Amino acid sequence: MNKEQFLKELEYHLRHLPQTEREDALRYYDEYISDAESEPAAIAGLGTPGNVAAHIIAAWAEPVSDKQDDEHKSKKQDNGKSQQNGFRVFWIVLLAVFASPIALPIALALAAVAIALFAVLFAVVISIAAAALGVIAAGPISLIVGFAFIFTSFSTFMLYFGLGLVCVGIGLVLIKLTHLLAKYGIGGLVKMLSNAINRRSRK
Amino acid sequence: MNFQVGSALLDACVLANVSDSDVYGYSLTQSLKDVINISESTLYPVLRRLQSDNLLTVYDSPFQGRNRRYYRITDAGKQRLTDYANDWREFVARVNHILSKGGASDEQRTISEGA
Repeated sequence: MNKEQFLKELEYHLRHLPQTEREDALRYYDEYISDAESEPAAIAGLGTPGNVAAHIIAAWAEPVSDKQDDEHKSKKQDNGKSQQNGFRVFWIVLLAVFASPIALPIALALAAVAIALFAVLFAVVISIAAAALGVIAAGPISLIVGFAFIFTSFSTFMLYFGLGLVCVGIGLVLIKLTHLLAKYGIGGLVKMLSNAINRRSRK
Repeated sequence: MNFQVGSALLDACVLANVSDSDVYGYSLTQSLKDVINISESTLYPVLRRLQSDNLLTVYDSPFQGRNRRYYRITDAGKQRLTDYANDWREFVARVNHILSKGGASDEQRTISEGA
């Protein structure tokens, strides 16, 4: 393995670290290998890039809490630091879980959830659309029925006429709702899922 | 060696080395790895931590057409080094005391206690 290969592999193993941390480490090892009398000996001495990366990640995630630190830092600072480190550890654990073989069943479960979400959203959209169509169809019928009563009972005519208008109104509102749900609901879900999938496949 | 170098002792050794003269990663590794038993990949995280604790600073200096990163001790680093040195002397004195008592009179007991 030459220096370029070593650094490339190291970069891969450090891909979850913040960019500044990763670049600092890569620069250090770039210089380290360049400064050595023998490049192959230096690389052999370092061990595998994965091993080197493990040291870096472990130190980065490790809570800084030895006695000396407690004596030298104010309590407030220390709390902030340990909380920050808590987050880091949580993050690392999460990454470790997702990178491990358990990731596959989890991914399958997530896919099932995604499909279920689609089905539910689709069903909701379809049912609202059906309701809209039903109400809109009922509206004119109610109007027509109303006209049948216009000479016998004016109040009945008014009732059916009003009902018909209400139905058409509700129908129009439901159609708009269907449109919005389809556009932002399904569109949003697709976007969310494709983001999630992209992020995973880039790993 | 039978003894492990803990993180405080490692910090102390690095600070002591940097306080002698500014160092770069490879030279520091070479001078420390034969004295205390550490691997080549141990020092980077230590340097990074000391740097983030403001005990060391870095600066770049041109070397053979590229930049080489040097580490320099800060005032806080010197203070920490003094504390470490004092603690270490006290620690060594106590351990010496225990070892001299046990080791001189009853070699067998020291071995069983040490294990």
